[in-house]
Amino acid sequence: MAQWSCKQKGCSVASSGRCVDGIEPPSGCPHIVQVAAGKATVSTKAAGRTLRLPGGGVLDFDQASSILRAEPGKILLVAGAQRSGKTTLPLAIYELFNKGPFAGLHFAGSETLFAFESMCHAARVRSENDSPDTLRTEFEAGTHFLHLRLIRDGDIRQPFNLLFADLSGEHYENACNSTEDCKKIPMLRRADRILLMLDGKRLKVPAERAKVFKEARGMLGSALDAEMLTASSQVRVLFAKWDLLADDTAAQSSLQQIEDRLAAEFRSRVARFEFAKVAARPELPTAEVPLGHGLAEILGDASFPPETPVPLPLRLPVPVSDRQADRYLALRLPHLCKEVKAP
Amino acid sequence: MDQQFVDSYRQATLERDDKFLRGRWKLVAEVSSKLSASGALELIRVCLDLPSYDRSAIATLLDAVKDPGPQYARPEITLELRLLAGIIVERFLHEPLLRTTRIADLTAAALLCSRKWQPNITVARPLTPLAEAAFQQISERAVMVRRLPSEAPRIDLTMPTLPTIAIAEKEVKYAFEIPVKVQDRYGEVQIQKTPFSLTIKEVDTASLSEWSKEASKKLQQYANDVMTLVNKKFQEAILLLPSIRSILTEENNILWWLFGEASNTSKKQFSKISLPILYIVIANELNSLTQQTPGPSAAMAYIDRALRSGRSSLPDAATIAELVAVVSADHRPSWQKLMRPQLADLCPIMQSICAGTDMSAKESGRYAMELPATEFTFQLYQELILHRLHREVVG
Repeated sequence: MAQWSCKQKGCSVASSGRCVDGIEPPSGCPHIVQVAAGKATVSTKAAGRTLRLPGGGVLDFDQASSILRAEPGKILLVAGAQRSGKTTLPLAIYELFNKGPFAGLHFAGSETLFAFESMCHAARVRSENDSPDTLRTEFEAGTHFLHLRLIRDGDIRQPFNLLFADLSGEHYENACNSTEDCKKIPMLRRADRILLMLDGKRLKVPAERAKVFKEARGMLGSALDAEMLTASSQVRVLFAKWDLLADDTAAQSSLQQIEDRLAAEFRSRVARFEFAKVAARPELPTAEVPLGHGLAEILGDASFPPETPVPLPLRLPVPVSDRQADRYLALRLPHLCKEVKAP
Repeated sequence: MDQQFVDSYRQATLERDDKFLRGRWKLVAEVSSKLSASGALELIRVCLDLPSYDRSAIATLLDAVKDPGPQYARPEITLELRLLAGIIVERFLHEPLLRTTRIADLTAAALLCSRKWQPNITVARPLTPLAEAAFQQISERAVMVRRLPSEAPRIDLTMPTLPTIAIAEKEVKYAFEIPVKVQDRYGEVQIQKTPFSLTIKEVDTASLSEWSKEASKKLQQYANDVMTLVNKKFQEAILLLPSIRSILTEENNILWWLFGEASNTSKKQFSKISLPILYIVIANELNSLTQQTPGPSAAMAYIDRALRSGRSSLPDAATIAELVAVVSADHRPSWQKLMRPQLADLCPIMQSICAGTDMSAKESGRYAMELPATEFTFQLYQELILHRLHREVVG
């Protein structure tokens, strides 16, 4: 149910649901603000016209749905243990777009600018933190979205949307151990891409590697057993914080083993099962591991393929008929015909 | 609920429950079952992201999917709307009860004409199944409307069963006394009565009469039914004759036209007519020879045959620009008169001829049609057929 608050002093719409000016329903009042978890939408109504201004906060289910109804879009579910860099991934992509076009794509808008900015704040100098950080997300599993609207180079008529859903560390851990908990994350089934983050910081520690592998294996196994991942799912396992592992040859050999074992177990069970090395926000960006290392690949994979207008193929069905006149098409232009089975 | 629908719709929703999708499927069924000619054309425009002509024709659909959406999106053509439009058109062309209607023929022809438009934005519903449904519809209907009766009308009336009768007999006993002259011992003649009895079995004539009445009634009814049916079949056969005649005339005329390898209008051989003009001549003349819509299923082959007569090869690509260039200003008004405004945006070649400018230069995406000569002429022929269909359906 919608919750209201009013900008006018003395209005108790928030508690009583009644507008101080007596406007019924209260949504018609120009001073009213609709408040829902993590978002605020200002609604003004005049002469029967409603203008909904975006609040800029994370999108809920309905708002994300609304975007998908309007334009092509894909859902990217970022899953991983706590502090594995799940939220940092979309934030880093957003920050890269702040600097200009990235991976052949142009920023064309976002419904969650405020959310991006507030989450990025901790990573900026202005926050006066010692090092870049990301605010932890506290949302329900896969029910809140960060949004990016992008356009491919020279293709301004075909914008597309990316919606990043975040699976919190707690839900990830529960899902690793239980198919029942997995079933509580419907976004696993709906997501167009699942990005499974393996924390590079933990992978660097030999004692932690087995645990990270076990968690990833548990998560994928549970999701498949719970049929939340199916043969049409597309999964990309990301070795996050790659800047910490780039020079560690010993760790890399272990990662190769992890990769081989996961691939052997899961590649045949989903449509796509791939690996990538990413460093969304490396501590010390280098030429080998720059800011946003590996993100271009993820974006390229998630974006819609360039739409080159291709005329529809002309495949004329051959009618089922005993008349020579109807057979003439197949006799004269067989290369344009498509055989039709007799009913 | 159609699984293909669920899979397609997944692109435009995050809804997890079936209730929403069932509602949308119901909407698809409702709109497709009440689709008007202008509604069908408008759905094609929505699906291909073409400018609207008559949005009110799809008011039910628009009301149902009203969603303010994000500010940047064009609320008039959302992805969901385009998706639904494609699904409705596809269902319309697949539903057995709907696809035998003239509106379905019009829809398929319109899709066929607009299929080369190369829409510039991502199409939610792949256009291939739609185009295939349209081809299938046109092909099957072309055969259906030209089907000749293969046998004489049959009178399938079963003989009435006459009532059975059990012939009842009754025994009638007759008793007589027969007088006999008898001489007694004294020689006197006496009359002595000798009793005599006779039993006869007689038929019950009352039930026989009843049976006769009933049988005669049934036979009379049967005779009436036979006469009514014979009359009806005869009427049908008579009414079918012009259609049969037109089917055979069409086929015969096209054959002789192809055999003659010459234009009916300019009286010149096809090989003597320069190519861009020949596209128009052939499309126009085949359209004139076509008596039933949709046109013959082998129309493309006829066009190919006519184009190649006396020519060793045809150009790989024919364009609107070269066609428009050869149409003189004197001929343009006749095209403009023929052109129906409701179909203008669905018929790229005719629209360009009417406008007298190379539309491909203006809107390269939509009108940049480079087709092999046969396909190009077929496209123009289909546009002419679409106009005829529209006149037949809408008036």
